[in-house]
Amino acid sequence: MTHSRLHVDWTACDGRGLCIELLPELLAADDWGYPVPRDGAREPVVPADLMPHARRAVDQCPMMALRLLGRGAT
Amino acid sequence: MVDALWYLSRGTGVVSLVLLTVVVALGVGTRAGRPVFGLPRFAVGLLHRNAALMAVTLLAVHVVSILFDPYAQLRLVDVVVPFTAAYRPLWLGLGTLACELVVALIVTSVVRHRLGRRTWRAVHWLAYAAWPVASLHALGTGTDRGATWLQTVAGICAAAVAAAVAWRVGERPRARRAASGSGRRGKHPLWSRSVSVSVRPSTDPAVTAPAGRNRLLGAGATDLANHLRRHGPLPRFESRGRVIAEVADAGLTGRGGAGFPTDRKMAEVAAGRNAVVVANGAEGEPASAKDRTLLAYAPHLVLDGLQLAADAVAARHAHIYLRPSAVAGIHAALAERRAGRWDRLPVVVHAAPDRFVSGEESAVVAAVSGRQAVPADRLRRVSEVGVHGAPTLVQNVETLAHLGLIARYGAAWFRRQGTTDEPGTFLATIGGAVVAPGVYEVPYGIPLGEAIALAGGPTAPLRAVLVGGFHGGWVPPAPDLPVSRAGLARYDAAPGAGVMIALDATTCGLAEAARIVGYLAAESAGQCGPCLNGLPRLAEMLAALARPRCDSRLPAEIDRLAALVTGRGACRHPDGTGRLARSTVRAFADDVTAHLNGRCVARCAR
Repeated sequence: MTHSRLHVDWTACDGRGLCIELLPELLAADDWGYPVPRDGAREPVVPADLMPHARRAVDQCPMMALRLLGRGAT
Repeated sequence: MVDALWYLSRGTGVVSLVLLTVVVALGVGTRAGRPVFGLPRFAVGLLHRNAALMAVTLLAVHVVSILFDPYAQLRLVDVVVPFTAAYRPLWLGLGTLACELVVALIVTSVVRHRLGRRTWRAVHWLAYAAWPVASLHALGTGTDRGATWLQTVAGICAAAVAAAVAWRVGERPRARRAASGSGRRGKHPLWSRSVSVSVRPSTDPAVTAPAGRNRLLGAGATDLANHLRRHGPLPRFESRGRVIAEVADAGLTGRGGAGFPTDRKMAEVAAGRNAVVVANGAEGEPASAKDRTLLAYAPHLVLDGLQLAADAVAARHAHIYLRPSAVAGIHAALAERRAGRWDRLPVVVHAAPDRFVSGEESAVVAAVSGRQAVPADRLRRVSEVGVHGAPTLVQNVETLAHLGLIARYGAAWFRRQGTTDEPGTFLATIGGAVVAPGVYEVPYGIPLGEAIALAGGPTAPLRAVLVGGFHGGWVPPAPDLPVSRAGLARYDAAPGAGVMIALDATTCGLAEAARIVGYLAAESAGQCGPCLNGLPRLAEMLAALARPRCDSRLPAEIDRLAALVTGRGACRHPDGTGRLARSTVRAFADDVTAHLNGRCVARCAR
């Protein structure tokens, strides 16, 4: 079974921090306010119960820098 | 009833102006990246969005009610095409214009995930036009024109937007993205001085498989006639799959640094249609000289490989991307081949900007597609979506040259050099504290001492060797250490693009590493926040560590930062820089201890 992964387009991310507020379970802020996956993965896996929150974070990112890849991405 | 429409229109007009002001102020304020009024940032975003939707709803009521108002006597065309109304054309026209701008903003925002970031953001800038136009419309027309209360409302609105702009300008001090990736330019560290090239020309002119190690450079055939005399024409393959199978048997891997199996990349691209092949000789790494050396000494081997690769993946277009200094040479070589009708596909030549990251795969694709040569975010591999959206095979020029030989002499011949797992030779740029710095062709697994000896041996007792270039790792100068992925793995190093830099015992490794990381930090394309902010911090901390009597918390902090930037960029520039920083702290642990105690090992050794 594959899971959705959270992809950050770092060339677009401006460290506005909305995703960190909406997905605190997966993301923390780094020294400059950019999101850091808590598990250290390049593209952290989104557990099923966090999918609605992840979709919301993707929808609300002001820079459109977040994306869900894989299962249930759309 | 007649009056009701008039009141409705006036009321909704004023309220939607107030709402628009709220939307603009929140939009401007949220860009500062700070919480507004203690609200979480996502809440500010939602407020911005919902206020906008409410404003446009009221705006619709405003327009419809004025349209049916018998006094204003507007036609439908008057509220659609600005400045056509008989009644106060200018002031009404401004309202029409503002309304249309707002509708454009809302519609593009609703479908922004389909539009893409660039288009959406470009349209969103119209907000800065819509708001003043709407304000002027409110002040200049209607029953309430000139009324004190309306002017007060408009004044408060203007003050709110001005306050938001002030808030935005006073944002937190954080490195911002470079405007176009230009600007700051890294200063090359000492080691990047030009490397002399030492190549022994072959004495055997007959068409035989090169017997020794000097496969690529030994031929020394810069012109097509000599190249053909030495290697003969390219053999024809009965099928495209045959070339890829031969490459797989040979075990050829990419020589640009990553070491990805060439056959797998070729097979991926061959699976697509209308493929593009790019020979990459950008060689952004200043410590490396092997690609320019190869292009100077054996350009036709590279071009043979390019045609072979193009055939193998049924490419429609072929490109070669190289340093500006190599452009004239490759044009001459291509002209020779054109005269002999040697190539199936014409080759387009592109000059690479002299920057560290310009040879990164997605930067190569961008450059060849006519965009700026900076790395890009990738959701799909370049082998699927590359140059102008076509499946693209980007191969280092050395890889292609090996391909040119494998096609002629076969996989079994290729495997005669190197190890079973890492067959073949590679071009090593050996520099630093060696007698004869230069480019040497060596087999994978060569003992480190033998490689150093090829370059004339060390000029002084060595402290360490930096293997794999500026994104590589430090290894001890152990003569028996095999230079291969397997041999170097325990030092978290790899041969990479073949760079080996010898550090003598009188040079402080911490100081040298600080200089390299400083250079790498300045070479960031400036697109990704963690790289743009993290690499200069990493460089600062290494520079601090290079000074005696430094803070004892530095090594741990360097480790933390290196891990923090790793994996958080469009390309691997932060990862590679972090790897070097961590390797430095580990390899020079003695020096770190000495520096913490106010001494320096290197200075004592002098």
